[in-house]
Amino acid sequence: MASWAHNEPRRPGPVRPAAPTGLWESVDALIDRATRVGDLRFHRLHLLAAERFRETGKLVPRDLREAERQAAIFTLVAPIVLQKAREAYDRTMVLMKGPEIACKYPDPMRRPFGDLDLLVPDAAEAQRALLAAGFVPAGSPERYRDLHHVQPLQWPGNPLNVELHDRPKWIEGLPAPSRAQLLAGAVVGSTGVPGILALPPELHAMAIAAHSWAHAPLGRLGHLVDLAAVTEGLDRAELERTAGELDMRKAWRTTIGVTDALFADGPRPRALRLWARSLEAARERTVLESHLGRWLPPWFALSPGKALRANAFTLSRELGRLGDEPWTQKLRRTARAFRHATRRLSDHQRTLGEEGR
Amino acid sequence: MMLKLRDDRLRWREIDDDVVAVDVDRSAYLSTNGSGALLWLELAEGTTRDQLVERLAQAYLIDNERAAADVDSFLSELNGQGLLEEE
Repeated sequence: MASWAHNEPRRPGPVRPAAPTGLWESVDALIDRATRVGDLRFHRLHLLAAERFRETGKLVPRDLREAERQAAIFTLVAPIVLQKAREAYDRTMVLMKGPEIACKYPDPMRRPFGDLDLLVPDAAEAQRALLAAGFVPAGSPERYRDLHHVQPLQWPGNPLNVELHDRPKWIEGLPAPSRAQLLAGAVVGSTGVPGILALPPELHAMAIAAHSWAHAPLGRLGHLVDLAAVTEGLDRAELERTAGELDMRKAWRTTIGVTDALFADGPRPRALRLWARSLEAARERTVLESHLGRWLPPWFALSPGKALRANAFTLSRELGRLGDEPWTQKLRRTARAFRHATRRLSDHQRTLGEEGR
Repeated sequence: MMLKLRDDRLRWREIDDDVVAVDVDRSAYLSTNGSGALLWLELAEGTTRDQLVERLAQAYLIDNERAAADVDSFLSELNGQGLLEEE
């Protein structure tokens, strides 16, 4: 990347009112509440935070400035890569998340994304078509076996990955909507690239809500900011109806309840009080919260029977050893988790790494 | 002679004091900050070499000779990448 610089002093911009009055003001208030830049990065709010820091006269750390530059490049490059993908494959292509959510942000560049998720009728077929058109594989193929998307691709010289999906990532224990159901309702997208479609807003909201349960359920504020941004102005009854059709009403109510509490002054739901408390403080989960976040969420998304089965699975994992580690090591690890119950999970994991588990 | 950034298939944006740009044809991207960003913004509007030298000298309180050397180097870099149009 070419670079050219003289040093120039930075000027603090105007400070916005502190009392949250809407989504973005509430996001600013959360950013102000965070005590570590690392927490904001964890929650994927770092690009919004960089702007907020600048507005409030705070120093923008070097790594955030670099992240901003990278995000700007990704935002500029995305339509080019989408155009290349569109030219390579002539069947339906639906862009999920990424730029489709970013366009709901006041500045699309402030919504981080590192890949373009395209839902297609046949991911393997689309993969072959893109490879034939000049796209190249990114990463190792083993990593993507049995995942919800095939190995990512890149257009040569471009840093942005394209991920072709057979199905969207969904909530563990709930049936994902069929590909046909998602593709059939596709609408004109917002990227401006002809032929790149989007999910209808209500369905897109469900996909974003489902995604917020992947990995750590309701673990990252950024997912919920996405949901708040995408559902702004949508009919709540219609959203509720769509959730019912997809058999995810319970998960939807939990997700939108937490989102409303954080960004729309809604009532504080039990999920936020019990296992998602770190969201209100805009910090990473502690070891204890992380454990609670494995046991309790199924009861807020699944039927009691499914939740019980999910807990049984969690129990077997919690009691089991990691790979072939000896039992003594497993017990030491458990004891450390108790001692570090109130530490951030990444701090705890770092300590484990330094101590050789 | 008027100098201007290419309008066609060049996407760029300003972030704080930086400019990042993507050359659509070559899928190449570049970034520039500080004085480079200042010159870039002037070139986006259309300007002359002498105006750039004057602008840079004023903004950074440097003498015209040094500003001219910096401007020429920057213009040469942009020309080399085919990003400039001359009118």
